[in-house]
Amino acid sequence: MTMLAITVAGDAYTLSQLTAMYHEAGFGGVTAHPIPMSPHTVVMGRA
Amino acid sequence: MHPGNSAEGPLNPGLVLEMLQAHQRTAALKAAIDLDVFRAVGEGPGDLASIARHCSASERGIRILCDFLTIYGVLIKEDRRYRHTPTSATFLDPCSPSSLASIAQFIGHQAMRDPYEHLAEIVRTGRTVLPGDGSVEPENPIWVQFAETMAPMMAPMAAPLGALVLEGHAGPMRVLDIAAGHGLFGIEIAKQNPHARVTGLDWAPVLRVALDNARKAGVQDRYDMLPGDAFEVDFGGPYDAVLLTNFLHHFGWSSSPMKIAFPRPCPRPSA
Repeated sequence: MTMLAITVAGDAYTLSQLTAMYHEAGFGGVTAHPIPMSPHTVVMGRA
Repeated sequence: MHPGNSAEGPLNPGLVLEMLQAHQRTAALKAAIDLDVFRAVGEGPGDLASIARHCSASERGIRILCDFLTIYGVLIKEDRRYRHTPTSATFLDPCSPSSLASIAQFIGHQAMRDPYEHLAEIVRTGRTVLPGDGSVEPENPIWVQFAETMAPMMAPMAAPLGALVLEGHAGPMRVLDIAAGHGLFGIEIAKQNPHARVTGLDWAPVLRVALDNARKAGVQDRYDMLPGDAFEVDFGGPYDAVLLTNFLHHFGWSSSPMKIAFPRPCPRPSA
């Protein structure tokens, strides 16, 4: 909802969508790492 | 099952009324933070007159506000005195090291709230009513506010993020932090690896906040600033790791920073 309200085209992306973005940009080995006691997840890729 | 979807019990309009009035909860919490109510409650003694005096507010106003906050569980009222709940003591009292009170200044910022007055129009058009590119309009001052106030919400994830990116690497390395904001993530890497050199990329007024945080962390000698537009500035490099935090979701797929920023050689992007 925040992205709809304040951006032109922003969105909430799923891990599979983020993985596709990383691949399109030339990065592989994409992994997700949820941060304990937090709503955040770190998504890492490698060149 | 969500109460609004439950087939058990008689139907009642509670959920609808709650959603129609949810703005009261936001406004009450923001007002209490602005008036410094939670500090007053923490310092005690918690009687109405003391809180009203501390907040330079009317006793009637403070009584109704604090009773409202009590109903929603962020204060306790006993024997005509107010005291903290565990939640308010930890996350709302500005004296708590885990206080999130400052983030109300960003989340409650006029530019963040105004679009919701026009949400039906936004849904019709599928885009914000904010001018230009919305939140990512160049030099948008809300990101200075973000950098100055959101650190308490982001700080707890800095250490685990830093450890993930470093993977035990203790040698010299260069890190690019795109849309650095408060700078805490790159700064954490510099703290965990004394041989790491970090470059923060963001608008110049935002980077001043990041540099101030680097000074506080004692890593300013290894913190470089790269002011400008993330889509246009020359990254320099090469870098061993790239941070791209709290940024991708502001863009559509076709204009994703991942696609636009990384045709340039820039090894080992992370996060």
